[in-house]
Formats: sequence, C-alpha cells, structure tokens
Amino acid sequence: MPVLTNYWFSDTDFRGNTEFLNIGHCAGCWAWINWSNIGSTDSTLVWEREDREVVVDLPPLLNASDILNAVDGLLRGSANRTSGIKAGWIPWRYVPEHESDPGRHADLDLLIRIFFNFHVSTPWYCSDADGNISYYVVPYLDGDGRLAAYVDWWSYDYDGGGPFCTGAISDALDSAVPGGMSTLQSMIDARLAFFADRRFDTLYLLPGNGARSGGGNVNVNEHVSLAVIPR
Amino acid sequence: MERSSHLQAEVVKRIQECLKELGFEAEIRLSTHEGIVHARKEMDGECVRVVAHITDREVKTASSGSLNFESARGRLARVAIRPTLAAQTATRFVPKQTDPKEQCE
Repeated sequence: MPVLTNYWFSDTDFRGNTEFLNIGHCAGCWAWINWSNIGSTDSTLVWEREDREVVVDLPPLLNASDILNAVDGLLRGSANRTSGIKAGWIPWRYVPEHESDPGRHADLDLLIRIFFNFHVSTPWYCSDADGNISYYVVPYLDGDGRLAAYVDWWSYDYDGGGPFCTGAISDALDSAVPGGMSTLQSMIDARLAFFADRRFDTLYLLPGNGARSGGGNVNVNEHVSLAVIPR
Repeated sequence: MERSSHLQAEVVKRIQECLKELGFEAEIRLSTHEGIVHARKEMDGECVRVVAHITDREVKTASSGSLNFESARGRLARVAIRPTLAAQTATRFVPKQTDPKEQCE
C-alpha cells in the first residue's frame, strides 16, 4: 500500500522542527489528512512513497563504535566530543560560507549535514569553549544507478575561549577538522560497499527515521533518512 | 611571520622577567601567532592574576572549507540523481493586496 507522507516545517525552506503524518492509501484513492491545528509552520512537503522504498536511518548508522572512535581520534585531544553524531539535511543555501563558492550546488540541493558537539577545556585565564563540527555530504546515484556519496564541505563554529585562547582553539580545529573529510569518506565508502551490487532508480531524503505509519515530530536539521527505490 | 614570532617571543620573555622581579612565577605559552604570559600569586590573602597576550592576528571562531575543486568536479560529473528540493516550489503565503481605499476629497 503506498503511503503519502506530509511534512510541516517550523522554518522556511524545509528546515527545523518538523511535524509529519503518514497516510497509507490504496492505489487510485485519495489520501486524507485532516489536521485542524498544525501550529506555526512556514513550509511543507509531501512525498508519495512506493512499497519498494528502502530506507536507511542515518544517525544510528553513524553512531557505530568504529565511526565514533575515528571521530574522537580525529580531535586528538584538542577537543572532546559531547554529543552523538547527528545527521540532518541542509539546503545548500544554508551551508556556512557557501557564498564563497557560488554555483557549486543549486540553492535547494540537499546535503546531509553530519555533525557533533564538542567542548574545549582551557587554562584558568580563558573561558571554556563549546561548539560543533560539521561535514556536508552529497549522496547520489551514478548513471548506472549505483549508490554513492562524497564529503563536500566542512565547518566548525564555537562560543567561548575568550579572551586569549581562541587562537589556540581555532589552530587546533583548523588542523584537525579538514583532515576528517578523508576519514569520513573512507567510513562512508565502507558502508556503501554493502550496496555495491544493487542498482536504484531514485534517491531522496526523508525527515526523521522514515517511518511509514503514524505521525510525530522530529528536527530535520538533526535527523534524516536516506531512501532509495530499487531498480 | 618569523619576525613577528620572534618579536612576540621577545616581548613575552621580557614580561616574564619583569614579573619575576615582582615576585611572580610566570609561565609562558608561545605559538606561531601568539604569546601568553600568565601568573597567579597570593598577596594579602587575595589571589592576584596577571595575563599578557600578544598576537599578530584576529581569530575567527567559525571556519569552513571544501573538497578541492578537481575532486569535487570529478564527483559531480558522476552524479545522475541527487536529493534536491529544487523541483518543488514552496509557495509562501502572500497576503492579498487590497486596493487602497479611495481617499475622501
């Protein structure tokens, strides 16, 4: 039975807190959604989902111990990871400093933002710093329908470290974070190897875990699933 | 940059010496762009703190970067289907414009 899923987003351009509702319906029938009070929402999406859809919920996959260990090793003690790894979608136009490379992607092309929070302890003459490190991944199907993905961008952002320690913190992050692109890429390639013999017709992202029944709430900035339709 | 680092090291060292004369056991930290001298000492029951910082740059607390152009171009050339919302146009609510009332003459 196909499922119509409706998403309502708290922010424009399909971002932020997301209410969703799944309605199974017979082929050729209406899918009804009566929702009298959807609250304050600024954008909405609807997707008609086929029975043969295959969904991969990304955060559980990314919080495997080998990936967490690799991330912690990447920071080399310069910072401590303080959250699990989150994976949300982000339209290109909201990627930090995307304007430095106009035309790299279209404004509403979706990237998967893989990120985690960190904490840096500092000497007594500075405040501690808290922030996040992000990698931006482009999933795709190639011309033969093979599933692939590449790490396209990185960023970090933090508060604190003042008044004298931001230099040391940024130096450490500038040294560690870009190098994480290749580490993450090899992890992704290892996961995608499981799909190497399969071919797909289409690929899309779904907010949350890709459930096909019921409704709920999720922050699409932090949690998405990858969905493919087998050939 | 080398000259700047040398200057910073010199300044930090001299401040450390001055503090030593005043009875502070100051520690120093030097990096390519920065030097810090810091010390703490109890005086009359109060903890007195001294910090001096010298740098040749303004630091940003946010940064970003990308896969190099050649690799990105190679990858993009292989992309046939990718997630995008570009095919869906979001309709934003636009309040209906009411004609301005004709003003009284």
